[in-house]
Amino acid sequence: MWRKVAFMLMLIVVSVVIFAAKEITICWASWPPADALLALSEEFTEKTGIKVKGLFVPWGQFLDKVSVEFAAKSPTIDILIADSQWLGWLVEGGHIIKLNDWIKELGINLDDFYPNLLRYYGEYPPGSGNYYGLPCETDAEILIYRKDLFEDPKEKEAFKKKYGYELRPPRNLFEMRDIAEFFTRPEQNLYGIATKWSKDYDVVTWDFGWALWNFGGDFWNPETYEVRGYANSAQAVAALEFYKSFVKFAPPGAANFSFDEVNTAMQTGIVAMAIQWAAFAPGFVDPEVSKTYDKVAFMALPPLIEGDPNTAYVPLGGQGMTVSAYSDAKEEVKEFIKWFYTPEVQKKWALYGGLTSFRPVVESPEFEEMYPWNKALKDSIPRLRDFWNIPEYAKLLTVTQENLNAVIAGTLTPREALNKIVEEHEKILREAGYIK
Amino acid sequence: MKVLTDKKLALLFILPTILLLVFIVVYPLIWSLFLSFTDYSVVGSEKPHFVGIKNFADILKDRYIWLHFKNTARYAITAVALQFFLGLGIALLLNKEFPGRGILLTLVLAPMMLSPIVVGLFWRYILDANWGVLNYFLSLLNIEKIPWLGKGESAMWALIITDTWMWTPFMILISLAGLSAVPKELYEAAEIDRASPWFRFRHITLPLISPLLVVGLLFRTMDAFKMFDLAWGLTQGGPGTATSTISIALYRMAFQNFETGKACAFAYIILIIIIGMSNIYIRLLNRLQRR
Amino acid sequence: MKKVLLTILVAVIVGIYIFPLFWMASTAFKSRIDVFSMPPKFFNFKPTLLNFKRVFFKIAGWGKFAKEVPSDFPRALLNSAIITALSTGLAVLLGTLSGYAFSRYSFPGKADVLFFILSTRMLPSMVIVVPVFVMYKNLGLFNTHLGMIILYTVFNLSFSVWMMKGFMDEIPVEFEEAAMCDGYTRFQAFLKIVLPQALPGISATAVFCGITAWNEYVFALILTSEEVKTVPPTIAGAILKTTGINWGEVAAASLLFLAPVLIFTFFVRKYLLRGVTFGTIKG
Repeated sequence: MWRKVAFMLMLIVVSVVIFAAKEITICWASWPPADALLALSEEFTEKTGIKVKGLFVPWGQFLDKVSVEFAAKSPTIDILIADSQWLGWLVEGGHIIKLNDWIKELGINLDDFYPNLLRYYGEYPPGSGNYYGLPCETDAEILIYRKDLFEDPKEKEAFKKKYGYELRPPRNLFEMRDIAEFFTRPEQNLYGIATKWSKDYDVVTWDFGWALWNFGGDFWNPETYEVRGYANSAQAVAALEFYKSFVKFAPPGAANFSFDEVNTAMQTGIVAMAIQWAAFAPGFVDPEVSKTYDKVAFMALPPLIEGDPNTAYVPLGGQGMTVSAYSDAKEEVKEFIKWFYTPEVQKKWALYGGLTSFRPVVESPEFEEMYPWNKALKDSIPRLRDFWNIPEYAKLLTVTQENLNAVIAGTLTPREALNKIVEEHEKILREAGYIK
Repeated sequence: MKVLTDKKLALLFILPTILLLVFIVVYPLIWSLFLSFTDYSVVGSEKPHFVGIKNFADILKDRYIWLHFKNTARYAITAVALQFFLGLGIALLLNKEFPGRGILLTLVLAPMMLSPIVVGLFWRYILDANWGVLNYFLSLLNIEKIPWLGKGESAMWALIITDTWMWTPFMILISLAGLSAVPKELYEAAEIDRASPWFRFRHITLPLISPLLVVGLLFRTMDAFKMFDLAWGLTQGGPGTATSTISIALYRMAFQNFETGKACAFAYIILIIIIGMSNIYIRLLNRLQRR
Repeated sequence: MKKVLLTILVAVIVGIYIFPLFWMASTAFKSRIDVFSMPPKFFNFKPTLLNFKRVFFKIAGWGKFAKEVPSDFPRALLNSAIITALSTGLAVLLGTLSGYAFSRYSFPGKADVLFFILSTRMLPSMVIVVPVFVMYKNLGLFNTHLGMIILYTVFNLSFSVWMMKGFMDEIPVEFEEAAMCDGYTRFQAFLKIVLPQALPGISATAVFCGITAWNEYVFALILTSEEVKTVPPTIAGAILKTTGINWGEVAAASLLFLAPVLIFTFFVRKYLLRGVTFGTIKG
């Protein structure tokens, strides 16, 4: 009698385990690349029989959701496609596993990745050789511009007369400003440039960070964690004044501009240029959604000074693939990673609308032909740069977000805002023990 | 079948209600009172440490928090005042019989029944600086495009306008109820005495409807004080902290910074204020019902 | 003359009130390009049902690899329906019973108990949700239908108690007393005499509770995750700072969501005053 019961129980447990084990949950933000990844994963399911489920959370709650799940050590999440900044708190909290053994076991060749990207998306601490993530979605901020406006002979003539050089896609930041000024014509409902200022998540910090780095400044010294003299240096103030000057050339309401507003501005044709993450690029050429779908072109962001790589940084976006330490499907995840990081699948990933940085694919001749934004992405890859990834980055981010946004809302001057950032960052870093 | 005695029946009918309320309201409140004296965080792995009244002190000293109180007060007072006058005025206009009154009235009263978050979200489109229909109408009057949600000052007005659209119907309803309770004979007597409309309003209408109006006012004020959904949908408290109400501040503290202990303390402070306000409300209500 | 002026004024006011609703309805039927056209298109656009389709099916993948997959909306709609229906049923049931008891019996401290019940409704949701979040996480009720149903029931309970007490007060005691003299027990009198008369009140209370639960955002936002999420946080999540706000889709989803509320509001228009003041003012 008891043996029968035990056998039934065992059968039930085994079948539950089988069903439970054959499913992977990918957690990411709820946006088109996530949908694309899930669609692509159907090919994985066909091949291996392992089902893939998506747990996609709106950006505004993504970090909170993951924090709560990991605090509860929940096995819900198997694969987390995490922002590069999260690396610090994910690793130090023990929430994700080190992948070095898997990389060796699966025969993944690290030369297939760009070294700076490996560092940003997966190496912690930087320089240690310990990899906790692999690049999944490699995003960069690129410049989208209206090639019809740039190629219009009347515009070219007027521009040459006013500025003394040819109208062309900008080769440095000052040309960019000239062009933005030139195309700002409120009476025609046309403006020079759309860029982001919102204090949501990390929006304004990134776009300002781009200007900051190109002017030779930085938020801090990554070795000594000093902030004073960096975030409020003369270069930083100059960078913020420069970035603020763009608002004159932006459509009304720019102070609130986040991803959507920039997209909409370019799609409805009211701006000549836009700085936006490459992940949103497909939306610009979709006739269902963009009035200007056949008039736009993409390029990598211009540097401050042509030819000087120290002033040519591009903000790094995108997320890396990491594996939750609490996952109960680690074998299946290993299968997935083995499948995902092959040239064929990475190429498919790009075709599906994901942004790959897998070298065999990026350096292949067909990459640039695939989609109009691929060249801009490829040009940006060597110039990509990231900011803080220590566990306290969220607090640092909140400070910069609010103060930078206040500059555009007019309640703080650039110098005041940067000084406030220094003060509060020092407080945070001191409390966390990085500086005395 | 057992015959239930009266008392037992009463108990049976009331007990489940009380139990549920205790479970979901009283128990968490007590727990939260305990947490408010600790530095607990829901995403932390440590047990809560007792920190005395540090949380309360921090909050009451925090200029940031006082800013939120100021915002909320400014929004609540302005919006409710607007709703009061508009509500009364419109009620006076609608207080007569005319064809289609039933349907029109229901349509006008509909906004207050909608989900505030959805209303907030949709007014974001109406108030969009570049593609919103409100700026379009203003441009017809030669007024320049206002960046409603882009600048702090105008964002506050955007919130007030949206809230007024949504809740003036409430004051209309209350005013209509009050107006319909005024005995017609009084008006007729006043007409015989040839009293002016203003006289009628000031000496007959106003005194008789004011208790109800005051109750409505207090009700709206309490609601405005608590408000989260509408502001969150419209501006998420931005730009900066221009439209951040205290509920938004509490949300940020509890669910973005995960300072759970401190958030419980903050929640208690808000609770005490609300209890004070609702006390006044109940007292006024009793006075009204006794008349 | 005065009549004409008044009529115009009334028309303007009603127009201002209805316009946003009309605007939302028309936006729901506009293509994305029309949604962002300046000057706005009031009637001169070609209506499309694409937005409604997109509410239920979203596109995954790009270019040749684009395919239609179900969105989160159908599941959210189901969650909203289940949670609203069950919590409303429970709240109305308990409210009717308690309302009757409070109406017919007096006991020491009754006013205080009633005040206590009313005051639970005065609390800001955000204040309640902070400890409930911690409690639910510990009890395993986080992100469960049961947890949400219990919470919404309690949330609506004070309202339904006050409403039903008010309605019960209006039913003359004489009928029950007569019935009890005829040998019925209190309970039977309640079932056979009082309840049928209370039916309009019960319906009105149910509608108000239902609308409140349907519209609720704060608890749904914080205490649910993707599986149990209801419609309000789903709509909000879809547009709060991700990619490409398509106002047409937002309008379509909102329209579908608000339509039942508008319809039911019309049905309870007689009781609107009572409903929006938590049963405290009968008018």
